Amino acid sequence: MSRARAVRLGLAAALLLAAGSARAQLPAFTRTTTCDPTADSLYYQHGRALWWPGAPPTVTWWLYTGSVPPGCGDLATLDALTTASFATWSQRADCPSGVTSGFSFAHTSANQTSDAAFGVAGRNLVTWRKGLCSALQAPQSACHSTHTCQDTTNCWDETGTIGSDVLALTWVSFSASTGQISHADMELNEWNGLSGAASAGYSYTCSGPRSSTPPIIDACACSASDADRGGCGLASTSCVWADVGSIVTHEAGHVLGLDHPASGCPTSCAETMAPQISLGSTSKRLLSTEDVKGICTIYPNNGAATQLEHPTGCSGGSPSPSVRSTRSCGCGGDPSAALWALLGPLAFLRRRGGRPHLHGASLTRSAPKG
Amino acid sequence: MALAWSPGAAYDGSMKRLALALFALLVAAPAGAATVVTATVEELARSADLVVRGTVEARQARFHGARIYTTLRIRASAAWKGSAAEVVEVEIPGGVVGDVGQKVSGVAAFAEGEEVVLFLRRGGGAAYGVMGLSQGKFRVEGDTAKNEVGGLYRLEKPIPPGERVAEEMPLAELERRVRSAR
Repeated sequence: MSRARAVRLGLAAALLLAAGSARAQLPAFTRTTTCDPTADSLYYQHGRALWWPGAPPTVTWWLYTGSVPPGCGDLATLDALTTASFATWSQRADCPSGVTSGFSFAHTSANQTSDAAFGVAGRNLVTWRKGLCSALQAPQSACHSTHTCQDTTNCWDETGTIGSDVLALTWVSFSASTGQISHADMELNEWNGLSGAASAGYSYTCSGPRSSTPPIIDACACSASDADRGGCGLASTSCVWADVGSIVTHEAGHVLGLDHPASGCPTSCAETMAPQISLGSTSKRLLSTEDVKGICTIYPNNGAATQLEHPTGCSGGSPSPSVRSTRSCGCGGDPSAALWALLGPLAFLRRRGGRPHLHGASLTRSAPKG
Repeated sequence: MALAWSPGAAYDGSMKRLALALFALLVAAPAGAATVVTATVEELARSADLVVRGTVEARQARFHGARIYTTLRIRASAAWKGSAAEVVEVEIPGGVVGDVGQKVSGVAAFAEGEEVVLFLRRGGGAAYGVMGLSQGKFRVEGDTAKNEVGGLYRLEKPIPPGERVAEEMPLAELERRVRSAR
């Protein structure tokens, strides 16, 4: 490699690094806001953050017990892991402030099919939908166009908007003017028990350890065609596929008011609230430091939730620069620090070479902020 | 050699190693992130009833039972798969009706006037749905098609040879991949 090329590569790398560090300074946890995510691509930086009422809030979720993933074996196992997943967010004693967070989840259960209906007031539902509504309801049924088929058969409403390729959905209802959450339903798309082309849904499993050393990989064996349908390790209770613990813990974060981290991957990949998980991994069962900061920031003590109103209202416009500096966020960790440890010597060489303009502030000072 | 500072051989070697190390790290990070995307353009195209290019004209949110859905009117300029009417109705979950909002993570955002390419599946009613939530929506910016899948909770899986994940790419490539998907 010529020296000129080395310089060009170095400068290109530095520019990319500077851009990456700007992204890294975005909050490592992000609160869901009142802005319509279907209309405002920067909804997480606009409007009011969502919050549950109560001082402190206690949110009761209902497990529909009529559908148990075969990969969990029995209801008791499913119930225990689901309960543990919600409890992960409750009353965290490891807040940076040293004060235990106030938010708690409580739970009950219901076993009638009608109990799996969506949006019942006062019932924050958790249910494993089993089978596609298009297969379980007559094609001419009006429930397809009104999106109510699941209310009578606990099926996955894949018609149209929500495809069979979606693993889980959490719907959070709130006041658009205040941000107060009133309701949340969690639907998980369980394997329908069929094989071949008729197979649909995902094989949820409950096995695997809770560990603080992610990622834990104990994936079920499967063929590529099985993987396309999410059907690996069908009904096996000895391997991990779509991990109930990781996915429910993630979705529970949405229930309490957290969104996917705005900083995105790779900065926030390891967080429970990051929107990626590996098949066979249980690594999202435990919260990262930034996840904990999130729950502790929203519900900091035994009082009410922390209110947050961004300077910019809901719209499709770009946020003002002050938005990022004034929002409540977890900007602590900077995963690019390791890269900066390499850039440091690069800048040093430039200084020794007598070209001070090459080590401007954007290269040497902006990234380590935390 | 274009280095303006000390041209010593030791510096030259250090610079090369540092530049290569930095470049490798920076290139490797986004590539690793890309592997988590589950759907390829070809997979979306094969499963779609309609792949349409068009412009978002209007939007309206309303309740279906206890759920809120937002209906978009898309003025179609081209159909890459299937046959599109002049105006295509697309339904997406969530939205705001009066003071009631519903949020579903992973749903794509649509702005009125935005030019898009959509991978659509026929719904139970008259409206289509976007496949794979935000994976099935690309925003057209000049010669580039961009999609935002950061809001999706995705599972890793192998990418079939020759196919490309649903990610930012030249608009012409997106069209070619859609039209050639079998």
